[in-house]
Amino acid sequence: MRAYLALFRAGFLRQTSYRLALAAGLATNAFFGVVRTAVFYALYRERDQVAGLDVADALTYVWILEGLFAVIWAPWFWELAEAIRSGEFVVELLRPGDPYLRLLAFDLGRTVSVLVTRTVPTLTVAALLLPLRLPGTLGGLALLGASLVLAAVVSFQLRFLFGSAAFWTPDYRSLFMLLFPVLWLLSGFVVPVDFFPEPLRVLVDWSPLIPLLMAPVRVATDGASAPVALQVVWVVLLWLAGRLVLATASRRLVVHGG
Amino acid sequence: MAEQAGIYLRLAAASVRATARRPVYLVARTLAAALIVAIEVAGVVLMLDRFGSIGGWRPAEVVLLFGLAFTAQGLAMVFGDTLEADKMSELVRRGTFDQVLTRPASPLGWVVASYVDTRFLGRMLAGAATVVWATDRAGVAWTPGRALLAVLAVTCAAAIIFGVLMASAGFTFVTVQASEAVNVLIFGGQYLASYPMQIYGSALRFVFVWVIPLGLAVYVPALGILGRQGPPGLPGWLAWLAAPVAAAFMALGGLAWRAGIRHYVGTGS
Amino acid sequence: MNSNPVIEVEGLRKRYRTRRGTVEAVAGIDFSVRAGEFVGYAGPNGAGKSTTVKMMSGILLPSAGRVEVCGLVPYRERKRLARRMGVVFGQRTQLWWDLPLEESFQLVGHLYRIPAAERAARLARLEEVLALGPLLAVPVRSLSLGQRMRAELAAAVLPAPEVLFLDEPTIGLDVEAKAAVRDFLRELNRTEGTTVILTTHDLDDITRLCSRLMIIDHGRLIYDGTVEALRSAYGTTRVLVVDLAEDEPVRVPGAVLARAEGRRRWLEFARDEVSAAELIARLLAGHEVADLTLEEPDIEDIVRRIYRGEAPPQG
Repeated sequence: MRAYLALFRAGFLRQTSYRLALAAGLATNAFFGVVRTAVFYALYRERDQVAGLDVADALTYVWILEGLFAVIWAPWFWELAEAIRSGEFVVELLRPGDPYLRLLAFDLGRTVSVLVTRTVPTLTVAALLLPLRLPGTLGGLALLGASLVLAAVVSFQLRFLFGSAAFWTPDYRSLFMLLFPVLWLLSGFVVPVDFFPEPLRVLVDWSPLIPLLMAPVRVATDGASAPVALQVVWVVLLWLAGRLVLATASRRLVVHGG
Repeated sequence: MAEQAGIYLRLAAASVRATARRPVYLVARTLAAALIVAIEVAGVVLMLDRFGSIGGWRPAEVVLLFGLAFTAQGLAMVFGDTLEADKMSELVRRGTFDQVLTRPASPLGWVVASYVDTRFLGRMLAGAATVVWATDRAGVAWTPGRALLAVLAVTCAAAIIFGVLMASAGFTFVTVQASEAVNVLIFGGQYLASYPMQIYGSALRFVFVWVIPLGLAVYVPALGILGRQGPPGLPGWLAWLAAPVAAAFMALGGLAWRAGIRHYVGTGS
Repeated sequence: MNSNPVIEVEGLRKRYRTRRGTVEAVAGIDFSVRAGEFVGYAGPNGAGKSTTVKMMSGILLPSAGRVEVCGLVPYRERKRLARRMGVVFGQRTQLWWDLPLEESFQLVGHLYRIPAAERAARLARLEEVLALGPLLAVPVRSLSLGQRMRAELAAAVLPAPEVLFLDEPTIGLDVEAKAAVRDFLRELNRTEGTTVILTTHDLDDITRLCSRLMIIDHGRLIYDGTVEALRSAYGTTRVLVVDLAEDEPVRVPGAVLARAEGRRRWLEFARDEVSAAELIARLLAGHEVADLTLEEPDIEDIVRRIYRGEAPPQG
């Protein structure tokens, strides 16, 4: 247990040392947030509600999006695939303990660090300046916080599954580059999923992409706890998938010798 | 002088040949760049179709702005991608830039020509396709005048973005923070200029029409293409200013680059 | 030999402003190099070698003093000087990494505006001398270090530069490759009269190639003279490093105690006065020894000795 905490701490410290990237990242978030805000204000000038969202919901969506961007689309995404390709990852599989939990602990350290240094300040400043719809009670805020952390966990799990493609193909880069824009869109990072046409929206609502952004947004704007439950379900399912992948991959490594 | 241009063309050709040695990867990157444009446009369409209009502009008209901005950015990035903060600072850190300075060539020309990135052609082509699709949806009939406006918009906006890239690269020699900040303007600016300027507050509008004139380069010619009147303060005839303003901006970027090099040579990083 | 100096440096200084204050990387050096000289430029790390070379090649502005290369002021006429000089960095490549070697040579030819016929002729000769024939179609990234270094040299001298700056060209090479590089440089200097400035840590490079050696330490030139003078002073000296069983004073005829730390002793002796075997025998006769090794003198040693006043500053 202590090992996992140590890894978490290591990941946290490592990410907080990137101060330059933080300043640039915050500036980027602020800029795009401001433009998106202006766009929604202009859109909602003629209408009060669209697809069940009003302007406060939309602004909340915008700023949670900006806050979570660096957490979900972690810039260190390629590291796992590269470690697998270079053979470094074999060492992880040979160590005692659970490699999945170890990776999760370290990654969570990094993503929580981003949550603390980017997400929270961005949301706080936005909430002070704009009519966001954020929980007013301590319980509500705690639920939102939990939802954000769960989003970070699911992000790791999905990144792990995608990164593990490197066990099977050297051309993973080309594959991902074509997949990411689609995932971006489907997880709601371009427009809220609520604006999707019906059949697509239903499909996406049942996918593990919802926990990444729309779940915390819905927790904030609807005050609901159902999205958190959905996140937990996906954490479990993706964890099982991750174990399956690791087992298959380790067997393959043993047979083929990496 | 012609000889000088020749070596940069050869360097660019060499850099393209080098990337062509991994054709699968190159094609994937180019397709991915085009896909990103498609996804962003799809998102805008999904959103605007729900609302009907923004600032009085129909969805297709906004998509025209997106198309122009993406094409311009693609054009600028084909040449200027390496001038971005993190890539330039790596060139400096690894000592590669010192080697560039020992060559009998202009450092800017060398850096730009040696790292031509063809994946942004994907962005350009997707942007151009978007422009065609948008004008078709908006019911715009193409005339030579309108075509000229489109070309003007793309080249001027590209020149402005390239100017920002040059300035960013120049700042890299002094402080990486400043150049990172400048980088936000390239992608943020392109995004901002993809919506009709009247939706922005006066401060933002001023900055992006007169300071980083991306709004001027994209929005005003688009007014001409769509046959629209601009808001007060942004009349259609401003389109004629786009070219000189863009040229002036690029010149400023060049000055920032040269100042950066002087600083680098003076202090030796 | 032309008596006009190719490189002239007078009162050259370079100051850096760091967090800890002003640091003088180069603290006033003077020298001049005549055409056709083969100069070794040595010194410990951080001594100011690369700073000096950067000022000579025009990529760094001096804080004070005068520098002229090929009659040009480097930082003011960088591009013109670039046409007349060649640079080879040991660790980094000037070639085009992903393209076949011959394309690099073509690009160099165009870059330096070498007429096609002349380029072909020079290249043919270089290919032969450096055994590059079978490598022409190979992408540079696939070349071994030794092969790549030969290619770098060819690319650097293809435009027939007047001055060649080399930075650690033999580092990491095996014995055979080092010999090939040295032979080539010697021939180049002899037949084409190219002035060569060789920055190196490798004492063998210096002794085999350089007629003149400059040693820089802490930004100052502490030795500028012939290799012969240096060789006669130290080239024959070796060091026996001994770990004694007991911490006791050591007296061995034929050797001088250079340094002592705990139970370890550094014993200097002259190669032509006593052989290593004999010295070890004499040592073992009088002391109990836990371990020992033999060291050849390196630049750091020589610098230390020059500071101790054991060699004349000019050869």
